[in-house]
Order: sequence, then C-alpha cells, then structure tokens
Amino acid sequence: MSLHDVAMVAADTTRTKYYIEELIKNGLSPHYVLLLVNSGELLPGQKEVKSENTIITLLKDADVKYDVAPNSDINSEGVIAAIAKRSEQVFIFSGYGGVLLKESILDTGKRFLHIHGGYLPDYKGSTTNYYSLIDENAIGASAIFLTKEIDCGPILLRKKFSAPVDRTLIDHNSDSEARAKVLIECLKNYVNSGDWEYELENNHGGETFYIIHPVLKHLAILGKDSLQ
Amino acid sequence: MNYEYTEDNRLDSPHKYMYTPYQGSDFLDAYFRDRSKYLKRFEQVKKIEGYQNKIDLSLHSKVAIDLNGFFDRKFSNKVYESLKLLIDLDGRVELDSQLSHKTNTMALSSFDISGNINSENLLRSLLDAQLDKGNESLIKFWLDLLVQRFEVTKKLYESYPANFRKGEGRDNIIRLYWLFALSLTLFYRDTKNIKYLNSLLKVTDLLCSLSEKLLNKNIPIQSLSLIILVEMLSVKSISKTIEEAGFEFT
Repeated sequence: MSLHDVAMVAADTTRTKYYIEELIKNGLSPHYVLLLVNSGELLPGQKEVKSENTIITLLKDADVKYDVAPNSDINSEGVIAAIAKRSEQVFIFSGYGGVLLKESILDTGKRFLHIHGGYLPDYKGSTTNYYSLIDENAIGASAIFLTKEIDCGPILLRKKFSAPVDRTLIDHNSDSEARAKVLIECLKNYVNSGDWEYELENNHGGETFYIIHPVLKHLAILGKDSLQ
Repeated sequence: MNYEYTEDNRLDSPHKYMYTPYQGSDFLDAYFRDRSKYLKRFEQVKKIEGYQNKIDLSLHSKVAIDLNGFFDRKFSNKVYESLKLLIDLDGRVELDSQLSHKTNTMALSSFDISGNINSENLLRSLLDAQLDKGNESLIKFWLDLLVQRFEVTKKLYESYPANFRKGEGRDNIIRLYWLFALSLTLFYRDTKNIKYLNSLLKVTDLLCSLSEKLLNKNIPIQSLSLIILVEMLSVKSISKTIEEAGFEFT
C-alpha cells in the first residue's frame, strides 16, 4: 500500500533510512520520494556517504517511485520546482541537520510534515532531547506541519519516551527511532480518519533551545540511569 | 584528553558545536581541568596588574554579593575556601558604597525593539534589572534576543537594528561578552533553565580562549573567575551522580 497524496523529500541521512524502513514495514510507503543526495563532503546528519546508496536500494526493493534531486539544497530553485510540479499535497520532510525551509519553498502551497525531535511546545529548537534528558530523563518527538516560524506549526501528534538504554546513540539512533514512531502513528491516524487531525493547533509558547554544549551533552549521556 | 573548545581564539574561529563527539567521562575531567587552569592563570594576572575601571569593579562587586547565596551550598570545605579567596567575600575587594558609582544606566523598560539597540547599554540595563530583582519576563525577553543572536552567530555586535536583526559594528568588544556572561550567570542562578547555562558555557569558552593580557585590559578578570566558578558548580550540581570529576582548586 502507498499513500497516494503523501510524498517525501529526504536527505541522505540515517534518519531518512529509519523513516523509510519503518514506512515500508508498516505499509505506509510514500507515493514518491525526492532524494537530496550529496556526493562530496559529509553534511550535518550524515555518518557516511556510501558509493551504493542504501536508501535508493530500499526504495527500489519496495518499488517506491523516486528521483534524485538536481542538488542537495532543499531551498534551491531546482528542488523547489521539482516539488512544486508534483501532485501530492503533503511532503514528509527529512532534511539535513540545521536546514530550515525558506519562504520560497513554503509558498509552493505544499504542506511539509516534519517530525521534531522534542516534545512541543515545551522543547523548541535544536538538540532538545539532550535538554529533556537532563530535565526529566525522557525524550520526545512531535509531528507538525512546518510554518515560517520555527517549530511553531500546528501539532498533529506528540509523544514522550523513556530515556534510551544506550544514550551514546541518541544523535543517529534513539532520536530517529522516536521520530519514526511518531511519524508512523501520525500517518496511521491520517489513514484511519481520512484527514489531518491536530492534537494541539496552538503551538505557541514553550522554550527555544540551541545546539547543546558538549559538557551538557555529556551530562545528558552520563545521566543517572546510565551510570547505575 | 584536551578540552578543545578553548584551544583556538574563539573570537577569530568560533566553534559551531554541531554533532560534537561523545568522549566518555574523561571529557568532563578535561573540562574541569581546563577551567581550573584558567582560574589559576587569572589569579596570577590579577596579582601582577590590577584592573582600574571602577564602574566595572563596582559591577563585579555587586554581582559577587548577589551570588553569595549561590555558594552557600557546601560542596566541600576546600571548594568553599577557594571560592572565598577568588570572589573576595570577606571584603578584600571594596564591596560597598565606596565603589557604587552611579552609572546612569537606562531603565530596561525604556528599550524599544523597533529602534536601534546599543548592546552595552542593553546589557548594563539588563544587569541592573537582574540585580534589582526586576520584572523577570522583561529580563527574559531581552536576554532571549541576545541569546538567539549569540547562538546563531557566536558573536555579539556593537548594536542591533530594529527588531534585533543582524548585528552591526564591531563584534570583538570583549566587555560585551563579559557582561553577557554575567547576565547569563545571574539568570541561570535565578531560573535553573539549562538553556542559559548552555550559552554561558559557550561564552565562557570564548572568553577563556583569549589571552590573559587582553582580558585584563578589557574586563575585571576576577569577575571572569567568579563566572567560571558559578559555571563549574552548576555543572557539578547537574552531575551529582558523577564522581569528583577533576573538580580541584589547588
């Protein structure tokens, strides 16, 4: 089964791989995937650039239609044009770390479904799961439609998860796993109800966090539970 | 293991802190060792050449008095004794009216985001408001703007145009980073919001990465020692479960 009105625009990252594996496993494959593949140096969110792209292999094996974008910059004219011409109205967004969607792509009329790594509206911004590990020994993920204000779009679904057993893998594993779970549940809700329903439309307030300092990152990883 | 974040001049080569590697508890040892190293160096510089700006010294004294309560938590007698020496709680720095010069600081409520903002004026007003236990939401509003600008660019500019857009003028005014660090220290003490400790760690990295001579020419260096102590104790407080990780003041 594939979701006929849902596509995906995805960077070549471990998070995208998690998403696609889970989507396929749950019978929720997007109708189309536009891949932002870089051929040179590593971009934020990447562990490695493989000569044989594992994401493409996954898509081929699952018979999911895809294209490789003309470049890896989601805000470039070429990528925007490729998205604008598609018939799907909603794109699951899985970009490179730290990349924000600019007005020109948000103005295409498409909706971008983003899974934020953090419980909204409490934890907005970057690397928030490290902060919530220190504050409340938990991580979170929230599904939102992107708007011009960062992390302020309406919330479709949000969940808290207990601290991962191995906290050293948060960047590339636990955070992605939590996000993938919320993505799948969000899409299941959509399939069941036939509409995008909101858990919290008013996503104002909360706190905006910035990239965590390595000292605090280590405190979050070496937290109480992992030391015991 | 070295603590790399103070190794280069972070005004010239800012660190982005993206995807920093996990290096185990040895990293925290390295952090505490590095900060302790600067405390010792600053103490030597202070002995050789004292800082003269009385307005800044007065501000340091006021902040030191205000932070006194923070150090009531006895981590150990050894730590406490070191603290007393470094922040002159017993009065070796003249803490009272003798240095309480009027600085003609503007009221924080008089700043208008639709106009141009001078960073030093804003920071001094912020600190006044914090020391006077002023309106916390107003303090947070202005401090959050500075935090946002600093976190995005790792710089503080001489001024910010309407709506606190991209900064203008010099970005290497050391006293701005010192005033910002003081403000973050007080706000973290008051709120325990880790967001502000996060920015404090970064701005302290930046200040420590500069030469002692340059620092001593531009700021009261004992004030930076005070900031470092509060920062280290705050980190230590969060890491209660981690054994005495290099936290030495000898």
